[in-house]
Amino acid sequence: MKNWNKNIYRVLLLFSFIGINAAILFGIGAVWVYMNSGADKASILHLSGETEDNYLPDIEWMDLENPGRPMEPQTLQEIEKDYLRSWYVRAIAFDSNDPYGLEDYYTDSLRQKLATLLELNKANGTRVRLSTISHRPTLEFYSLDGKMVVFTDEDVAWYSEVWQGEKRVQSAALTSSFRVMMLLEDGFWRVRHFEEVFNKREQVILGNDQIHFKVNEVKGLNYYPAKTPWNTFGDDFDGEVIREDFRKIKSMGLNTIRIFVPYEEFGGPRVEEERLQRLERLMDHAEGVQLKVLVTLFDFYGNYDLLDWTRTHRHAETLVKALRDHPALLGWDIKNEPDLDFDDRGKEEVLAWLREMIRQIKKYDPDHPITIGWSSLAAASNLVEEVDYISCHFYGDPDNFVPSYKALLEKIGNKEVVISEFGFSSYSGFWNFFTGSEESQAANYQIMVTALKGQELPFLSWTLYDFNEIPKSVVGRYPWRKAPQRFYGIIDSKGREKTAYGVMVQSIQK
Amino acid sequence: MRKLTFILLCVFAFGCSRPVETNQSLRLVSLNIPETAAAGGEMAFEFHISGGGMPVLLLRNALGQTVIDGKRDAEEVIFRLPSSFKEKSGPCHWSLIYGDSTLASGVVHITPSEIEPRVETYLGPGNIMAGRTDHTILVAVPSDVYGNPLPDGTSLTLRKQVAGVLESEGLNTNSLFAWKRVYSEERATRGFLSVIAEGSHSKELTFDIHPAAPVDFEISYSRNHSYADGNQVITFSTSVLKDPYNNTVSDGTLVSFLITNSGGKILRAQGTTIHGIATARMLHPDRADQWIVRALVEGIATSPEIQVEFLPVMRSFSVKWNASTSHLDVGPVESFLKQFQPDGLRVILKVTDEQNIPVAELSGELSVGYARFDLGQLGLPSGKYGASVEIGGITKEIPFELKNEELE
Repeated sequence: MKNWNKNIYRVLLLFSFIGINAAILFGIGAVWVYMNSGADKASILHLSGETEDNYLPDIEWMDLENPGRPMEPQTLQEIEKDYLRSWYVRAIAFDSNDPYGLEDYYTDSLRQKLATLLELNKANGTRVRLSTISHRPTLEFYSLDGKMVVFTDEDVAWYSEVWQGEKRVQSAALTSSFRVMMLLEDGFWRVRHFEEVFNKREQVILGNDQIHFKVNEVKGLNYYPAKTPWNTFGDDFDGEVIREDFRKIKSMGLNTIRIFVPYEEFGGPRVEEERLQRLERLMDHAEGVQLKVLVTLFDFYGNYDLLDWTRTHRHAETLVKALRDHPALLGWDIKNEPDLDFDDRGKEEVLAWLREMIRQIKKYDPDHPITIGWSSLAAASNLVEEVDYISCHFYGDPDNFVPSYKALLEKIGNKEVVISEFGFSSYSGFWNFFTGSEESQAANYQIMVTALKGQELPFLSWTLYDFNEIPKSVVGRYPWRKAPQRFYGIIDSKGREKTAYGVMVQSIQK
Repeated sequence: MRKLTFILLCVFAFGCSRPVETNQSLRLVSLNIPETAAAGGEMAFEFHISGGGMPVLLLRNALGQTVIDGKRDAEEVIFRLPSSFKEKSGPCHWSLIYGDSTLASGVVHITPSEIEPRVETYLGPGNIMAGRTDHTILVAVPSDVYGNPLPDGTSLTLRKQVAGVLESEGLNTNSLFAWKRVYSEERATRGFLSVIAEGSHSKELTFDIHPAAPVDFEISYSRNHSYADGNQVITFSTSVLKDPYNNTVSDGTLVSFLITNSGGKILRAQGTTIHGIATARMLHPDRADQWIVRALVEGIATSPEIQVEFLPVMRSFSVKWNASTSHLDVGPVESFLKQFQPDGLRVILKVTDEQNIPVAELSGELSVGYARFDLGQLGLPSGKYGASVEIGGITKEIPFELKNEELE
């Protein structure tokens, strides 16, 4: 026994010795790594890095004729760049009440005026956030020596929020015209005069009466390939798989799919050509079997900051312009379940972003209907006026569907509704005490499709396949969330049709 | 103690309570706001309201936005505009806001102040060419004491003095500014401008009228003698270069002299003008030659060609072979006055063997009328050779026999 104790002590001593040494080595290692990381040698050269412009409102010069001097394309580019940056630094200055950066884009006298205003706002606790959306400048004069330019920026569409402390005093979508004089001083075009030209032009709000497609015909599902859920357009993109899947969907009697375009993955404001081509190929395959595609934009986007708006506008512009003439396009879903960001980002911010995004997309594509995929029937009463039809998701008890729908109907007038997601998991396991089964899934489907039919509601179910892997960005990393998410399909991961498949097909084809 | 606890509890309870809901029955009864105003003047917005609470005034002009608080006296609320807004001309948008609702909104058009106008001027380019086509543009931006641009149609007076002639004319502003083309005169000179708005002063604006491009010109040369001695320098010079309006071209205008010799080769010399005259120098050739010279300001103006003749400096010279020392002695070489040819003239010796095949070529320089070549050093085998010596285009040939004892 004594020997035992001795041995235990020995072992403990040995392990603590090894442990302490390991800890010391790890500590030294961490310090070593820290000392050797950071600035690399190239930083000695003070090379200016690739700066990406963060402020990308839509700008188009209307007329360059002027009595002074012909405008050179390169100079125009520089003027445009510095003019937009003058707006950007001003937006940042008014947001932070700090004149930092103004001196590069405003001449002394104007900068002083702005500084006075900033001081006033700082003293009052006022904060102004603004972003311009589009510019249509017309050149008035470009001096013979190329050092002065005057232009009128007509009908600048912009958006502003005025805050006093934590309270939003006003947020407004505005249209104003400005006359601007800029001078070329030490390489920067600086704003010398900035005057508003008063015009009483009313803002034209686009009508919603140009919808061709009958949304009430929609019968379909939300689509991700079985092997690459939430990553349809990644490097594993396989056109053949998609074509086969589309044939299968068509053969079920469905006519529509809903797909998701992730914002960051597609390159943000500068959409990656390759991903766009994959998206177009997917649309081509859909067209091949006469499926309509509801394109959901801005998946996984969550910023909504006013200074990020113009970046998202460029993203939407590229995608909308690329796909607006595609025959398979059903319409645009601005964003999947944006109401889930209300708490984090502020309801007003999210709604303002959505409202402006609808306007943006309507500008580039006035023909296709626009909607927003709200996460619940309760959230669907937001922006009813702005969307062309209402789209919302239902994941509750199917018996509650009809009452919830009736409650929604009271708030939305006569807008059409599409249930753009509903589904039930056949997961049976530890996390739900083995209560689920394919039968219960099928039973729920049965109640749901009957209810949908009863209300004559168009729908898009969730989803075709069971998935083996759920990325943690979708439902988080907790296993009790991930596990059920894997079994929402009506075809299991081995390709076998589950009971719910039959229910679905029967209901459609009846 | 108990009392204190109670008081503390009360304070705590009040501290935690939500603010009392503000009276939403606030109503705007009337307002007194000017439609237009002059920049800089005292500006106050008056509102008559009923009900409790205090609205705020949101202001927006071209430069920015702010929220200001007013002073309430019974039912009257007065907002005094801060200088950033009352001194900035243009539309000033206002909204009276209470809670989440806008009670009233409107625009006040603020006109620029009429006191102390000033004129900002830009003149460019500052250097233009004589003649009546090139011009500079004057841009004048009149503004008031607060830096607001004066309204369209403001009249300005432009005064101009060029070449002693004083002129004056009126200008009107349009979209912030007035502009005027100022054309150059035929005389190269300096022009003076001033622009004033009524009651303002102007700084002096100047622009320089430079001579235009030169027209064709003449050239001449001078030299100390006309012999091709390879030693003296010939100087070419142009006539005074003038532009079409008789202005002497700017100093530093580059003139190239192209010299074609009788062999068809082109020599080139350059000079820049001073007071309109460019000069360039060239060494005399070392043999009789005829040059054709032309000068040009590249791409702009040229001169007619002139011919320059160079006479030979000698007719003949003697060459002697010294067999004992294996030296070839050249000279004396005499020049046009029977003087020794100046030092440094090139002497070229070509050696051929019996079959007239060249075996060696040497070159040397004249020194005090003579040149000497040591042919023993060439290491040629013994035998009969021919030597031809050339100086200044004149060639002498003599045969010689090399007896190289060391090699045998």
